[in-house]
Amino acid sequence: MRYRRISYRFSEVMTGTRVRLLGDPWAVLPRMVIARPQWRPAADLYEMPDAFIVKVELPGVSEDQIDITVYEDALVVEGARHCESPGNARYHGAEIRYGPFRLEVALPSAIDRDRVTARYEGGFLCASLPKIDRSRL
Amino acid sequence: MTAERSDEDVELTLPNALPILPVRGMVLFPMAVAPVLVGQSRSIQLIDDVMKGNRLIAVVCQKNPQAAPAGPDDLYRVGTAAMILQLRRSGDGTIQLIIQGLERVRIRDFSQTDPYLIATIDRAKEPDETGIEIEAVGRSVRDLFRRFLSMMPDIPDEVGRAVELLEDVRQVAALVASALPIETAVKQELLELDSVGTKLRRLVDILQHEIAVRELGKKIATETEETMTKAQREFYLREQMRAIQKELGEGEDGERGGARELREQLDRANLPTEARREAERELARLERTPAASPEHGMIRTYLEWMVNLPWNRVTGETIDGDRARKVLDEDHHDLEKIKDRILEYLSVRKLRHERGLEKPEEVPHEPILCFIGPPGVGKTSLGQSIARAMGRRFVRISLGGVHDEAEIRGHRRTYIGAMPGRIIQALRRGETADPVFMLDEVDKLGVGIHGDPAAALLEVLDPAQNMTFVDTYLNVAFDLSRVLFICTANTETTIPPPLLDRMEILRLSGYTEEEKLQIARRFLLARQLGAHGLREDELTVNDAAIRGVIRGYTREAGVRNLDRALATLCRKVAREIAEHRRDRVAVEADVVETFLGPPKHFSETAERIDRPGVATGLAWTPTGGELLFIEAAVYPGKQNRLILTGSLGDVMRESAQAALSFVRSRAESLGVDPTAFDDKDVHIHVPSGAIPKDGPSAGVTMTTALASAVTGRPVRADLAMTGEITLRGKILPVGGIKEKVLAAHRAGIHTIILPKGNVRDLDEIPESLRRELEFVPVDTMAEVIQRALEPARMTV
Ligand SMILES: Nc1ncnc2c1ncn2[C@@H]1O[C@H](COP(=O)(O)OP(=O)(O)O)[C@@H](O)[C@H]1O
Ligand SMILES: [Mg+2]
Repeated sequence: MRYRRISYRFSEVMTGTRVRLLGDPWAVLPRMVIARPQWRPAADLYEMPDAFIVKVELPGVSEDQIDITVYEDALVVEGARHCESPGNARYHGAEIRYGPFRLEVALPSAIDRDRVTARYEGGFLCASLPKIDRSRL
Repeated sequence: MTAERSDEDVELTLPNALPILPVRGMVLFPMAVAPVLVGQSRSIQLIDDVMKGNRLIAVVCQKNPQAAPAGPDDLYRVGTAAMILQLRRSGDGTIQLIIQGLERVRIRDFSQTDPYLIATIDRAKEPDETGIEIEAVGRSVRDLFRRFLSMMPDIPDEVGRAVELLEDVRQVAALVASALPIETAVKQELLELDSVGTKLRRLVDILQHEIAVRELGKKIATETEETMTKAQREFYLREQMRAIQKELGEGEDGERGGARELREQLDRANLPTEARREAERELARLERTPAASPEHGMIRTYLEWMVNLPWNRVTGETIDGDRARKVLDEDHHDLEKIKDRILEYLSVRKLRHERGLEKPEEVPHEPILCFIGPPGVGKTSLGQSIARAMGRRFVRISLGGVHDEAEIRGHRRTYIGAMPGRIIQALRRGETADPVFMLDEVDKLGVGIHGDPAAALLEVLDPAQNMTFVDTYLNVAFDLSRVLFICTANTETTIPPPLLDRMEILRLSGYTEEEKLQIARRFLLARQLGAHGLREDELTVNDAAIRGVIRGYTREAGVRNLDRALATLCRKVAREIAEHRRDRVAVEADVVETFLGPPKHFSETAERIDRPGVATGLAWTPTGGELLFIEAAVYPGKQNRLILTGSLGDVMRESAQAALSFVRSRAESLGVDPTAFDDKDVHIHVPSGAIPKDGPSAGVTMTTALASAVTGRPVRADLAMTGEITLRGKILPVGGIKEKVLAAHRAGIHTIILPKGNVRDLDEIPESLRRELEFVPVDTMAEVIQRALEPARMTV
């Protein structure tokens, strides 16, 4: 990790911009929303010559809290992220989602469910879903 | 196990005690995400505490909104467990939250009241219900909600779309309940209802009521057509309600659905033979069908439509030409040509009728009249006058946004909630078979995937076919040949050509300030006084004041906003008089502001043209004429590019090219250095955002702006122009001259440059206006430049 320390106020360097504590989610929030109670982590799906890779942004979740269900045509990742903060904390802003999450990813073609592997590293969950090797059938 | 449903319920873990956040004026439903502002210090402490832990709270509405802080007795017992998704503390110490409802909970006991409330709770999740009934009522809620939204311009569109996309009826109930602008107590009641079915049914109730109230309100406010009386409306709604209850198997009357009563009505309704036969068949079916089956309600609704249609009820009197003229004059200022044409049309109709020439096969069809013009020029009200002159009822439907054939022709009866099309619906409202029937906004008719509504409309309007118009729902012919159809539109360019072929266009282009003054004085003001219960001597407005209103508060071709402004004036005065603050009010120019607030419009030209490169064009739009400010600039650049901005249409781009080629090739005769364009980029911009920038009529303006930019000679400020230009600088005539001239005059323009070929159009311009304006007919661009540009300024 590298640090840079700057002894100016942000607003003095970046003229005309004010530092916002957080972005402004209030500005864009539609007036009413209906949503499932689980949040949905962000994910990438990409294809390698022999496998599909699903990469999920999931920092702060302990590995044994993640449930992966593999369907023929979909991958479902579920679990919960728990918030831990010191007892004398006082929040000024909060936008990280905690509690139960659920992600469903539709897969472009059939996979070999028995050879699915997953790694959790650096806050990312990486599931590798080998394609079915037709030549061996 | 691949068929897992994605919306499967999650098992939530909720503790059995939760901190209670009392809220006022809102009810949080499970699954709803909502912003909440927290200001009370004990609530802030509550939030501070839960943020460190599981971030779960129970949101409970205050029964007694005045109580602050609210104690246990000030709260309802049922609330919603919620998770805090986002938090932001503002400078003043208050906290903004975004929370999500998770599950309904019932408060058992308060275990703590200080510093904030904590209660033990019982989970009270609504049971999941499915089945045909739930689906049907869910469908009704969606449909009604969509209808409701169409009346609520301030609810964003996404909400409507969201409701269509939701599969789970529980979510539908939650979203609709959250979105409805109804009292908190009613929302709480909805939350407390246990089953989804009853929630949805209650929502049907509420939506019906809200829609009826709004429709009625709108009707009273606009006083447009004579439609249903209040009693009729209630009857109609009650019928619909009953039909829905029937479908849900809730009907109580065990008798065979009032078949006897219907038969009696049928006898009185005087149906044509074919319709009578169909009705008898359905009546027999009704008697065989058990009242609890969904079929029953549908048959009954159908029969009710049949008995309530005005099959043979007509009111038309013979037309008396003098009387008709008198009526038209009573309602409308001037419009002489239009009135003449209307009277002619009516007398031809009368003659045909008297000579028995109505059989369409024998004589050429008479065209359908179509009034074309900007909003507020009196299209609708002319239609109303025609009805009055003929002693007929007036009905009106808007075709704007209709893109489904079934909206014209009706739905198949097998649908739940099927209805006849708008034509038949309007006839039922009008209660006669020969009303004056206005089809508004034919230019906004859509084409969708479900058939072509224009084709259906053609059939409605065609005298050779409309004697036997078959609405899909009714499934029997209804004779439309006695109806007098009149269309209205803002422009003919988007009217489907086959329809346009059948029409005779009568054009209303807008009024001059003088005409508006007369209309306000003789018509609008008197009507508004009446509508506000004021006597003529209680409110007087002098001419200067009316002119002040026209100039400062309206910018329009018609008089709609003027009418509104006068209504505001009357409302304010009526209030002062009702509260005994004054006996009578005389409005003069200098007090207009105290009633209407600061003026909204100023003359816009003078300040725009202050430098070389800006020219004022005149554009035609469906809402009347508009000024079009075109800016041109020439600056160093390597590629000799022509840059066009302001999202111009293709035709406009071509005009810009033509303008540039012309100025380049004539550089010398324009007094421009022939090398002025070498290594230069040319930029042309049309700033005003709202108007369609297509059409060749801006060619002259672009060329002038460009010439002005390269010569450094500004364009005269009180001058505007229109005209198409060829590559060789010849000027060709364009359309919409009258609208353009009116707009120019409104904006304080004094001189108008126009193509010679358009000179004959000036006959249509009122005399008074012609006297105030100077018209400069031109043939070539050279003449334009000579008249439009100020002499070159001496540089010091
Ligand atoms: N020439 C006129 N004389 C009297 N009143 C007029 C005239 N033109 C328009 N109005 C009034 O202006 C208002 C708006 O007219 P409306 O018929 O709704 O316009 P449109 O249907 O063309 O949009 C109505 O109250 C109408 O009576
Ligand atoms: Mg109208």
